[in-house]
Amino acid sequence: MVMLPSSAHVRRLIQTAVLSLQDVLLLTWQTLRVFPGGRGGAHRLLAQLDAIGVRSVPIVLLTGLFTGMVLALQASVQLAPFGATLFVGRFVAASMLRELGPVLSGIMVAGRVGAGIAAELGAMKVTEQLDALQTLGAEPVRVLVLPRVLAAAAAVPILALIADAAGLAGAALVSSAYLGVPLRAFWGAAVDQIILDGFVAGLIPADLVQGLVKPFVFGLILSLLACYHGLRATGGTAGVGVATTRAVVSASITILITDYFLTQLLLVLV
Amino acid sequence: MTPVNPMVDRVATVVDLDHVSVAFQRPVLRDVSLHVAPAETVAIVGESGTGKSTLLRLMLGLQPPDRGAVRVMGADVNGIDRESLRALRAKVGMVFQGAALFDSLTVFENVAFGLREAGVLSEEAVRERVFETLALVDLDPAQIAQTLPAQLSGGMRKRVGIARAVAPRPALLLYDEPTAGLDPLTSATVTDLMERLQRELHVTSVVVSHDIRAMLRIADRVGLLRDGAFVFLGAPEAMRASAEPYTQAFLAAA
Repeated sequence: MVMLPSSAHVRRLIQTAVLSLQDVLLLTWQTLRVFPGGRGGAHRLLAQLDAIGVRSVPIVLLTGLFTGMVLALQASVQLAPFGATLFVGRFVAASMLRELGPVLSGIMVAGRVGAGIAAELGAMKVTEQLDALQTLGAEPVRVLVLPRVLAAAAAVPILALIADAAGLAGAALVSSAYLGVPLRAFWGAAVDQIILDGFVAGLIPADLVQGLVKPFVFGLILSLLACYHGLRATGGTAGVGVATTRAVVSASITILITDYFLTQLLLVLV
Repeated sequence: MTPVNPMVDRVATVVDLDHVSVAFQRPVLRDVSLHVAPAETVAIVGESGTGKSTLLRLMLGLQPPDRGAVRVMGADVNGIDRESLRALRAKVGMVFQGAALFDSLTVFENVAFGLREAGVLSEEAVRERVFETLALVDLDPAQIAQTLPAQLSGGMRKRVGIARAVAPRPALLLYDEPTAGLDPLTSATVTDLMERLQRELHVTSVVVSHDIRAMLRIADRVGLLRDGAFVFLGAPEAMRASAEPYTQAFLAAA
């Protein structure tokens, strides 16, 4: 017999979700309040840009490259019956720039960086390093959360562009090597797609606006959730493990849900 | 039972805990009062879970009391704004049980952290102070400054933790189990170091420890907590002579 959750259980779950959302919003407000970060802020930001941005390049590069290669193969299967294999570039450009580049970068960075942030902050919490920071006159939100959030918000859009470029390059490679699409035709189709989707303010390609706004929001989401779970870690090393898992799962799910609503919004606005 | 009121002149006190109570799932501290005079060393001893560390967290404003008042250097720790609390904490040094050194920073950066946050000293003066403080805790600055905490032994980590706490030359020094987890020899070395720091820096100290023998040696007064309340608070000699049964049992077990 299937046991349905009781109304009390559902109520408790909703309460927990609302309280967590409230705490994350409070952390967001506290982070905004300590902007731009005071003494040593630039140094801390640079260190995080390296940890979050530069060191994520290989993983994002590989993800983008192989996603683009797979997209080219799948697109050719769909387009071949109509004799439209030459348009593979358009299919890949639209998919990578608007969706896959931003979402894959967001999720890959949430996995690599989100886990790292939650584990680091969680370990600091359970070993009293956060208390030590406070006793030495430093606020954890200022020295730990703010540089990570700023770095993620700045780095993820750039990583998404790298994923886009790698995806297009991978698709171009597969198209010319296996699908008989000349490189010139592939890139021509890709550029046509970007032009056809229009420009914002007559200057910035609409696809690129989507491809940059989304990862900016994803960067904020994954870093804030990772910091939130790390700062709340309790119960020794086991608690750090739980915080890490929660950070990655909640960030990945939130990115996917936010992507839907952002897409709807951006389709109207851009 | 020995009277709990230490009869310290309140105007000249560094720490004032007045009828403080704290409860988490159960009562942790029950109507505790403690007044610490300048340059005095007060040791708080007791079994695990009797609220010893909570007393220190109260003094740092890391834990608000459910009832009662906590004043440090005359300031109500829970009634002042964020900036004032930050300024107050800058005058208080804390030595954590596990040292709580920042793993990603070198020994030098750990000891310099509070000095750099305060932003009073130039970088050259910070460097001088860090080297001087490391030497004060019997560590060779030239050898250890660029080492990461993970590469240090337990005793060395503890000494770096003490150096980090005393580097800004605080008016009040709080120790949370400074000898916990150390072998007897290292434990004795750390206790000697604490005694020497008191002598050389004349800093007011509150030490939470389970090491009653060491505390009887270095403290001006010893407080024994049981179930969140003092059963004894007085001079070491008075403690040794106390007829209070729990105090006698605690000393006998040490």
